[in-house]
Amino acid sequence: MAGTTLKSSSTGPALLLNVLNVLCIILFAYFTYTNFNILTFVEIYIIVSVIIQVLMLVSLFNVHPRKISNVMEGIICWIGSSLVFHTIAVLYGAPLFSSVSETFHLAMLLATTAALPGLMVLGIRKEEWTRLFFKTSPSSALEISILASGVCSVLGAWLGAFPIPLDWDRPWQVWPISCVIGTLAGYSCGLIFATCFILYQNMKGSKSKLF
Amino acid sequence: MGLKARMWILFILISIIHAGGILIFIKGFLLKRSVVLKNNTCHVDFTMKVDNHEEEGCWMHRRFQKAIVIIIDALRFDFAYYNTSIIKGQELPFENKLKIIHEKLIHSPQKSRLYRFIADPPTTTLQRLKGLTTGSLPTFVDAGSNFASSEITEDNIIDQLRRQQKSIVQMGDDTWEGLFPNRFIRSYPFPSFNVKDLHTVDNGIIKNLIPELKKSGWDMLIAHFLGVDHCGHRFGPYHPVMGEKLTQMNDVLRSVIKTMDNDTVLFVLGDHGMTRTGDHGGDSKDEVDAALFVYSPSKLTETVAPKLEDSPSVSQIDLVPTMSLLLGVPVPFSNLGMIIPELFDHGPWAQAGTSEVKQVFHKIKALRLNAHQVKEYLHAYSLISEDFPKHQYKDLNTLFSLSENELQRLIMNIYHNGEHEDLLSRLEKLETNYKSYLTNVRGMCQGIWAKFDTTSMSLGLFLTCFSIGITVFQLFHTNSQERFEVAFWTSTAVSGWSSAFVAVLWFSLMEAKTAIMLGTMFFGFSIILIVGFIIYKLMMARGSEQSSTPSLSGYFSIHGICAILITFMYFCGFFSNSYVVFEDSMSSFLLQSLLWIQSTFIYAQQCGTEPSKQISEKKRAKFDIFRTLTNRKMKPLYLALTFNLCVRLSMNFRACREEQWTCETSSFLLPLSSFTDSIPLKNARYFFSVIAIILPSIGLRWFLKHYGNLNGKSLLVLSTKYCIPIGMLFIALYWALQALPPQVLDSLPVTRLFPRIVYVANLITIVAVFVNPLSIYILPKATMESHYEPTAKISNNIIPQMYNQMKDSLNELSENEHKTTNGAETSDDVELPVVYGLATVYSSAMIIFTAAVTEILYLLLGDGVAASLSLALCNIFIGLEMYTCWKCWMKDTSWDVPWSVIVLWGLMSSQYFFATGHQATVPTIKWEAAFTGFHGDFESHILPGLLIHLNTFASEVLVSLTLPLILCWPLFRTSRYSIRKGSSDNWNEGADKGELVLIENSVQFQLCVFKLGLGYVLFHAVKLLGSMLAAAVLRRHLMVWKIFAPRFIFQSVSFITIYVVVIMSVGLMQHVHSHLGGWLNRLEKTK
Ligand SMILES: [Zn+2]
Ligand SMILES: [Zn+2]
Repeated sequence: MAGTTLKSSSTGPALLLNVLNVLCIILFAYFTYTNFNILTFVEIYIIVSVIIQVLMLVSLFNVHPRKISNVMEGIICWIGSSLVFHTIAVLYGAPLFSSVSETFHLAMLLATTAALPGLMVLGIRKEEWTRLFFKTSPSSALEISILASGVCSVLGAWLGAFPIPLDWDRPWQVWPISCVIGTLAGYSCGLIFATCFILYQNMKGSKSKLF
Repeated sequence: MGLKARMWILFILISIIHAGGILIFIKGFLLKRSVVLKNNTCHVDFTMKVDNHEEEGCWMHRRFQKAIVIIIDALRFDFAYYNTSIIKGQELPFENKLKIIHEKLIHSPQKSRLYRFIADPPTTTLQRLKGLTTGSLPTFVDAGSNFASSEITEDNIIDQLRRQQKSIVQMGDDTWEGLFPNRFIRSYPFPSFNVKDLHTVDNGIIKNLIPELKKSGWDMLIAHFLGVDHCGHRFGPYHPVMGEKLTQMNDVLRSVIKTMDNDTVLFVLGDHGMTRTGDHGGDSKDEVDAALFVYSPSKLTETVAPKLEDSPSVSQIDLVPTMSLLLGVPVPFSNLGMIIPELFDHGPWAQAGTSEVKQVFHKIKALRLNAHQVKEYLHAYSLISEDFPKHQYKDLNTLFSLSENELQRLIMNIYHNGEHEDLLSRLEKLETNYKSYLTNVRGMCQGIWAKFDTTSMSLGLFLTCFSIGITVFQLFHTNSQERFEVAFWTSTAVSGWSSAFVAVLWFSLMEAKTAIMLGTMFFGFSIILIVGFIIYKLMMARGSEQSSTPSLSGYFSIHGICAILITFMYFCGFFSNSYVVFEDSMSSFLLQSLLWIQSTFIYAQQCGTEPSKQISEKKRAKFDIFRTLTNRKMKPLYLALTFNLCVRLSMNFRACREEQWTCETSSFLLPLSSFTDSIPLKNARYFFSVIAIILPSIGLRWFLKHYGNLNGKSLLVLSTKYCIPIGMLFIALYWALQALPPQVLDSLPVTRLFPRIVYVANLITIVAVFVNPLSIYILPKATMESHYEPTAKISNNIIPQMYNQMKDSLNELSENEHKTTNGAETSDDVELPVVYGLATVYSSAMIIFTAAVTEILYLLLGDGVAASLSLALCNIFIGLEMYTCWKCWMKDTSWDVPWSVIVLWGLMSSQYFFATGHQATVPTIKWEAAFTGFHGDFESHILPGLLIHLNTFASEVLVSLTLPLILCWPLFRTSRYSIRKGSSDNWNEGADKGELVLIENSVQFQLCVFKLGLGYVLFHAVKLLGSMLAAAVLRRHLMVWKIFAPRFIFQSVSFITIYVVVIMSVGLMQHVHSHLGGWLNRLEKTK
């Protein structure tokens, strides 16, 4: 997929995408607030989020799936990253045999928020991923959003585990609800942070990299 | 004074301040009640002068001549209670077994009573016996001293009976002998410590009980059965053996009741209950709810029996006044219990049975005596201590005098007017008054004896902070010798003074307020000194900027900050009861998180340093998953995954705390003999454990062989070669024996022989390490020639020459690596001996020592959880490899171990404490560890104490022992990397020297080892401070005795253990260092 073509695109669409994503989460949380079933919540969110992102990317950035094999690779990688997140959750102490479906939903959510945007924009090339996530040198506004939202959603999921042992007896302390909330909260925070950062860069008028 | 000596001085001074801090804090936190050494006599001024009962009792007319007290240890209430709603044949092993109690309650309701007998925590036998005989409230501090039974000095019922010339016979638990030496006319003591032995004590009692009952000449007979308790500890209440044991108790009670005459009263009681798993010590309902059954063949009470379902509750300390007054002896002086009033409404001598007024009056008489006695005690106590809140104490006195006056008035009334209609209600009101007085007194006392000495606590906290401060200060100044020298004098001066002060304070028993004043001034002065020094240093630093900057970089990198954050999280976790309860999960969560951070950091570092290559379009398009996965750069990822897998697997070895209500006991924690219904499962677990302990020893052998440390015939090599496998063999055999049924097992002498062989074998290895820690081998001349081609170089300086030779030999032998020579020595142009194992000379000594200790720990942990220790070893190994990777990729040749690696080690030791089946609670201590290789009957408590200690803190011992390996491991591992790479990438110049660089830079070595040990201790000191501060801040918390206080005690013991082990391992490193130095000197001389 076209990583290099993005460098010429403007920051506007990226900001719009961020705002839309955050709005999506807020609206979604608002509508499902009363009738809370974590599994359907995650499933519907993933579908909605994927649709929005694909549509936005295609319409705003002219990223078009050129080959069907690339799409297939992307899907495989998405499933693969869900499995990786699932493994990590189990290694962290999630039950291995019971509540497998719950754990896997969290893993899918994490794959959607942390890995999918990257897969869509960067593709599956290791060098690009390394450049963005390990050398932290984003080359466009979109990549800033991907980096910030990806790191923050993983961090959010991690922080979401903290309330689980507390003896407050709240329904949302059950595995993996707090982690799902943490993931989405982290994701939104990352997007908001990225938006602010991009705006700040714009205000400063540094037209070096981002335009 | 050399560098080494200074370091030891600092180590010891800091440890003294730490120890002082812990002890002083404990003094303030776990308060002891002052003991009033006063005895009540027969003639006290509050007995009624009109009541003259000469021979028939002391303060009041006695009801019974003789008493039989049968203590069934750990008799929980529901063991004694007969549940009629259970269908016959469906009862649990402990249910409906004591049928005799039920029969008596049904058929003679006025001759028998069953009570819930509420124990005051801690529910350990010794504390309970103290409460049951003195009537006083326990304090937490006694809980740990269960084995160190000491004589009771407070007034107690046994001494009161003896003063009234009554004779007492005791049989059963030998704790009584320790508490009351030489008080009994006849006693039949049996050892109480051996929990594995279910029958010796009980059968001993049963043999002697009936003959003794039939003899005359005793007034009280105490029989203390231990079988039920031991059965609980060994099998838990749900095991069929419990049913057998209780049925046996039922038969005993039946035969005892048969022999009783009318003037005898029988008390059957449990000193505490037991949890679902059969343990006790805490304050859960199951542990506190014991049973009390009172029976007499003659009428006991006039009161109508309550329904069987709602048996009334009485406190355990209520037994003392009840028994005393029933037998007509004075109530012990410091009793705080209240008589059981309904047992005092029947007085055959006063014909009380006829009138209700007389019954109530009789009760009031007893309550009044009880209240008077309590008041006297409070008065005497208030004279020696100002513990009682003045206001409350005054209120109680008013209540008391009001009741007294009312009684006077009533008596006058009866005297003048006889009985009138409202007399009964007034009497009943009076009874309530006395009762509420006694209950309120108990409430007040419970309140104040849980009161804390905040001054001592603050001082303890302050001392801990202070020594942490010194440690941090010293750590920042240990990067070069000059800085260390300067800082040393400050630290020594300050900490030396402080520790001297702590010693003085401790010896003056810290009673004097002036000592505390003095201490505060002293510390103020010390702090001024430190601040002054820091200011001075800053001033100096401004002058010469380079000298003070480098040390901070290791601490304030990204991973360093993350490690500090994680330490801080752990610290904060101590303040929440939920996080303390789930600390097992918390520690592994934080451990895994830190490891992910580290591996990400390493990966990012490596990506950052590698030159960004321009990859061709064609190559870019093709994605080869196989090549990506087998890339050497993925190594940290795989290491991290394996590490986390080990941690995840180790979670299966956790024990359950009572508060973790969803937790299920892991099958690894059950004894092997309890797998009665599944033989394959039993075999599977046995072989799993055996393989788990054998694999690391194979690894050890391979490692030593590979690095050439297993050659020659020195004591160390021989003991490593033979003692360790022999030990493994006997551990395996010993565990195989564990599968036998316990009855068979106890009679076999080999059960003690096998563990002893293991102990001896490993002690030989440990001694061998201390005698000569160098596992190097100089190849003799004859065999040498085939291996090695001498070069003709001669040099005056021997060491560099040796390195060159070694390098050459390595290059030559790199193809056939089966026997790598890692050291070569040249001294003569003809003789050029090859030295094996020089590159790993430090780590091999450490590893052999660790292996020997680990084997003992395996044995003590038992066949279930031992496998977890192998996982810990695996984790340690991965941690070392990971660190090596890190050093290679960062091309970092400094020896400074980063803070995050130290924290990793610290978290590992915390995590494996839980993963070896322990929790920070008293009931989860594995007392049975004391029996590995020994009988239950110990002369002293040092050996069993040590064994239990090692079992409890096995992970701390193991992980702390391997600490110096962090320093050594990269030295010889990176050498392999750089040699394999060839000389083109020569970032690590000294790499081919292996660990010999340590002896070359002796000063640096000393500083690094010191810094490593100190940093590791610092992590645990922060944890200690956390638990201490949490216990202090939350001392009014509902859960303080259940959660925070035990956590603090476990943490302080573990801290002391870690300190000792770190000193040991650092000492061993230096031992190797000096030995190696001597060896090189000798070599040079022979040249
Ligand atoms: Zn007991
Ligand atoms: Zn016990």
